[in-house]
Amino acid sequence: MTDLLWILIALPLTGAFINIVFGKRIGEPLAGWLGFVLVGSAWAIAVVPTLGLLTGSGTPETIYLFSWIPVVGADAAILWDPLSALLTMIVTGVGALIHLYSIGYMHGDERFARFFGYLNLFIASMLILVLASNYAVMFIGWELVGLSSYLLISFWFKKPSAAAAGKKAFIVNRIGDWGFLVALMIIFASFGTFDFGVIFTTAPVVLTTGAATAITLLLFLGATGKSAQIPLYIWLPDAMEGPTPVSALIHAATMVTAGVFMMARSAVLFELAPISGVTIAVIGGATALLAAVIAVTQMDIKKVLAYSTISQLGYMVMGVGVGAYSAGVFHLSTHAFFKALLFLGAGSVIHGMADEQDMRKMGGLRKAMPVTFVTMTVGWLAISGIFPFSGFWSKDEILAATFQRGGPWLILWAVGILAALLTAFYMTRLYVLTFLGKPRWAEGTEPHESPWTMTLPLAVLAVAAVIFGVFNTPARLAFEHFLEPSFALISHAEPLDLPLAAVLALFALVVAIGGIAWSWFRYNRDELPVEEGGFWQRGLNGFAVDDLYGRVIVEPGKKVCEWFADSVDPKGIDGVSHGIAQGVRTAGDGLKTLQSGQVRSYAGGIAIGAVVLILAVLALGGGF
Amino acid sequence: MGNASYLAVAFEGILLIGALVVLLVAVVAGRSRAVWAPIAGASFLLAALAGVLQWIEVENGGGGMFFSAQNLQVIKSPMVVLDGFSAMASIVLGLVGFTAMLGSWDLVAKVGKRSAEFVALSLLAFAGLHMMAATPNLVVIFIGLETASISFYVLAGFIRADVKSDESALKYFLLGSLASALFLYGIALTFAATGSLTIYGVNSIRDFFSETVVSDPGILLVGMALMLVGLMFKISAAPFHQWAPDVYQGAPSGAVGLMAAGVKIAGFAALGRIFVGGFISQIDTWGPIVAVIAALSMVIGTTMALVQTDMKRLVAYSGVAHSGYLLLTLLAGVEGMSAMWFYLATYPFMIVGTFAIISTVSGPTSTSSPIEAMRGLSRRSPEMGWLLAIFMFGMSGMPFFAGFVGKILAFIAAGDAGYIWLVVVATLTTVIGFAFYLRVVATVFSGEDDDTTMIDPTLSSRFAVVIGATVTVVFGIVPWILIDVVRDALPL
Amino acid sequence: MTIIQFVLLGTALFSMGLYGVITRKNAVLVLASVELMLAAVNINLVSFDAYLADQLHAGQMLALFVIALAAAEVGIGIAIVLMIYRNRQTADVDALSEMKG
Repeated sequence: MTDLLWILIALPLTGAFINIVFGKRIGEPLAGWLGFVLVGSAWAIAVVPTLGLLTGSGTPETIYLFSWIPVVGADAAILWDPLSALLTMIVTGVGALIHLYSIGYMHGDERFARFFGYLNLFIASMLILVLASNYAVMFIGWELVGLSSYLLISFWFKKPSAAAAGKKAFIVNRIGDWGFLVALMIIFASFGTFDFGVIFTTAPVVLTTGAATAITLLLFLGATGKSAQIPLYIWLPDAMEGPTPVSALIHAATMVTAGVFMMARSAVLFELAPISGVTIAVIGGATALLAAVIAVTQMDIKKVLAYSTISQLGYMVMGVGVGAYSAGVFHLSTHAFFKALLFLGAGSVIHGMADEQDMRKMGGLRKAMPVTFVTMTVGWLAISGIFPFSGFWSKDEILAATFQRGGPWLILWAVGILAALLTAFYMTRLYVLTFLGKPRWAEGTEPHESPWTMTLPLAVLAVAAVIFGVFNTPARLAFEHFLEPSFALISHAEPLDLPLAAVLALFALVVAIGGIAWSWFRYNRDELPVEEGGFWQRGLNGFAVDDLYGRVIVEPGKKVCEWFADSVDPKGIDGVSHGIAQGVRTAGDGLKTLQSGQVRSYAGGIAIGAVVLILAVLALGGGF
Repeated sequence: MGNASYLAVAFEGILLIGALVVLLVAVVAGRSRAVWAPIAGASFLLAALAGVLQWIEVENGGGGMFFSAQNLQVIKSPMVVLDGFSAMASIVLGLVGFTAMLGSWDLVAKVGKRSAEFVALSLLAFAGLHMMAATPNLVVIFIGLETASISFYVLAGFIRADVKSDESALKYFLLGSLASALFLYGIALTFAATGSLTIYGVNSIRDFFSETVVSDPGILLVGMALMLVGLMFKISAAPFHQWAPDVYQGAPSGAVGLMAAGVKIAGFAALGRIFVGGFISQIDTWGPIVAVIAALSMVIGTTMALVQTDMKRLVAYSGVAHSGYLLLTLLAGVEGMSAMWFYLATYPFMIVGTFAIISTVSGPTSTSSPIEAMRGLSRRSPEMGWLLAIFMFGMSGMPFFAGFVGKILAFIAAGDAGYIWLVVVATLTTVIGFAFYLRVVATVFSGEDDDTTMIDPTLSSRFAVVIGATVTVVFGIVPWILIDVVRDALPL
Repeated sequence: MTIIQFVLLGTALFSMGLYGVITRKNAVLVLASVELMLAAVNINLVSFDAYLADQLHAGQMLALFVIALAAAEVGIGIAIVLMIYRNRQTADVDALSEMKG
């Protein structure tokens, strides 16, 4: 059965090929259905072996496909273990629902088929990433998801902001990718292979703490790019310029979790580097808090969800940092469901409100969009951490793991609780402003419920958001047992005593309810509170972090940039070079003056080069 | 003639005969271009076939040294060597020459009466290039180098009436002669220090190193350094690279692919033969210097390529960076040779294909080709647009293209040799390099309503580009086919 | 006479040639300077050959080849310079900087 797992990748890849090449001839809505059916079948195919792993009848294994670059231990092979199975289920499952949803959402778009081609490509790339059995293939998947994400963010490239957002995502992610790439080089230099099996079994012997720290910090730099952590999170809010299903699939449920997945996969290496663990946990906690604060001040419904995503990713990263890998992955799974649900719900609202995204102009949508309202209620309660919805269980587990470490880690735990309070606050704000109260619609807007292709995925995701949490409760750690084979090589902390766990969970619940109540009474009235100036204004601008980066990194190269702007295509990928290459370009201009076109100066250059080279050879060879 | 092997010199022989036939036919039977094509094509293909035969011979243990001054028992001063290294050079040079000739065919068609000259010079140049890879004798390496260089000086200035073509030829000639003189001086000093001009055989440079304890290495070191300078110039490694962009830009577009690809292959083959074959025991002396040159080449090539507005200059500077990546393979000594040949068997095809497209877009006799001329190429000629994108991806080192595998192998070679810092530099420049390659791709796929004149490539350039792209893609997806082969492409 | 004088002569000539290549503006003189460098190498080669008493006389052989190649190079070089002169009415290498950057 597992021999056929390559079909999982082949199916969406076929869809991508057909939709991109023949899309125009297939047309709407067939292209969309094709994409949906292919991803859906991939999910169906993955179900059986996953159940096998779940029931214990199947074992984790590596399925060899073909040899790719054997010298570096990079074969095309699939690593099928609980971790990859779980991610596969999420990617194909949520992916299929979002394909279905997009059929309704993208209705009438002139590049309808192309959109599904890119979505299919994304699913295939993501599967390559999660199913990889070595770092080389994983890196390829990593780059491919980046590429498809870039294509999808700037899908409406005629909108300048969308094109700019695509570029920004691309540039910022290059920085992270560089870290990843250098980490891979060090890994290869140390192990002589990229193969997971060899690396993870020999790591404790081969790596010194220093090498492990270097590798893991560089890997983490890669993760901060993909999973939008401080300092590289700035691309994610802008990425909301893409179509809403894209935000739901890529920038909430799947791609942004790739960094967390990669770190969970490399858990063995992270175990060897305690300093990295602290760094990661602190950055995760800080991201969770900062993004939550910014989310409180946002007015755009999608921006709130974007910052919320960053904040939740911060939780996951914090979980990895404290060594609670399965808790981090568990939160990843529950978050995939409820955040996709929230995004799709928001998309449904935006769709029904004729592309209005400002929450100040919504309100009272409860009656106009009943299905969206009910499902969003589930999502809201889940992310706020209300018992017994899934978010409650997964968030609680990370916080419990942090608490358990004791000592200074309690500060981090407090930060997590504070972020949880804020999460409940801003989500209630979003919920109340959108669905409750009196309508504040712009004139002529007539909200309507979305078609069934959009509401069905909402309903399915809502069910998942309710029940998924019970897989892993302090009393019944089914999820953790399921993942155990993937983390077999690392030591496990003893679970908390049940009474203490219950007290902590209760405390978190009280905090969440407090946040909801506070926000409820603040916003659920006829006169909305005035939120201008000071804190609110600065928060709305994301505390000017973008400007800061602009001043520190971009400004110095601005003059060159202006010169370059004349010869540069404003919407293509070439803008990529703007950020990173600015300094390099300045250097290039300096070198240009050396390239004078004068034969004699070239000859002089050769002569000087020759003299220097002779002296160097003499010095090295002991000729003096 | 007990120690003669015609197979060992078959490559040179076939190309030489081809060149002579072309010239004779031109004199005797008039100036029909239709005749050159089969002769030139057949010569290159036959030469590549000879390479395959050489390869089989070597695999069966039939390689060795030939044309020595003494009898079989005491091989002294061999002139030709048949090993995996030279056989690989035959195959690669033959196929690259064939493809490049196809890419140059538009130019051959344009130059009319002088077409025979062009074809004959190309054939002679490639014969010279292969000599550099197939001989252990420094004199013969120099002769091969000059044969190729002099031919290329002429090709660079082939469009006599164009001032840029003239300038290109003169620059190439003056700087090239200077580099040759330095190289030659290096040979003379090496001769003085070791008493030998040959790498293998009795009383050879290798014998010298294994038998003598060098107490006062001054002259030897200077000789080695000067030879390094000469070859670094040929492969356009920084800081000896300045000629390359000027010469590539000014030379007629149709001829650049031939020149650039050929010189790169032979230059590295000669570097491998001399420094890995002959001076391997001195690797601690030349290794760090090659590493610094590699780093300089990668940094300067990438940096300069970012600010170019001319397509040919951009490819020239990217070639400087690629020389840097290729130099990484030398650092690993004999172990790096297979990585070098993987790179040399794929990258030149990308150069040839790219220049065939430039020649199609800007015209085969053009002496400038702004990147802007590529705007909207994906609509004006969809196949050329897509294939150019493939070459750009290939050169940039995008996964699933041959350039990626080549780079990875080169990085591994450098890592094995302990140059981790160099691998970091190489990684960084690769990432930065994506910017200018993707900029070209973006230009190709943009421009909605600017120039809408359709471009209709000729059959020959279509062939050249498709062959190049096939190599780039196939060895990117299934590299182990080639990796298995080049594993045996080692010097004797 | 020892080898040293010959080597010094060769080195001096080589350096003069290199100096000429860098400083001369006239393309013909640059060409002449390159020839000077090659001639210097020939002196070195022949003297090393005599000094080493090489049975194969490899140095002398190489010197002969260098003479032939230098002649070929001059042929091409003069042709290129003439071509330049015909197009621009000058053989000043400094005037040749159409392409740069």
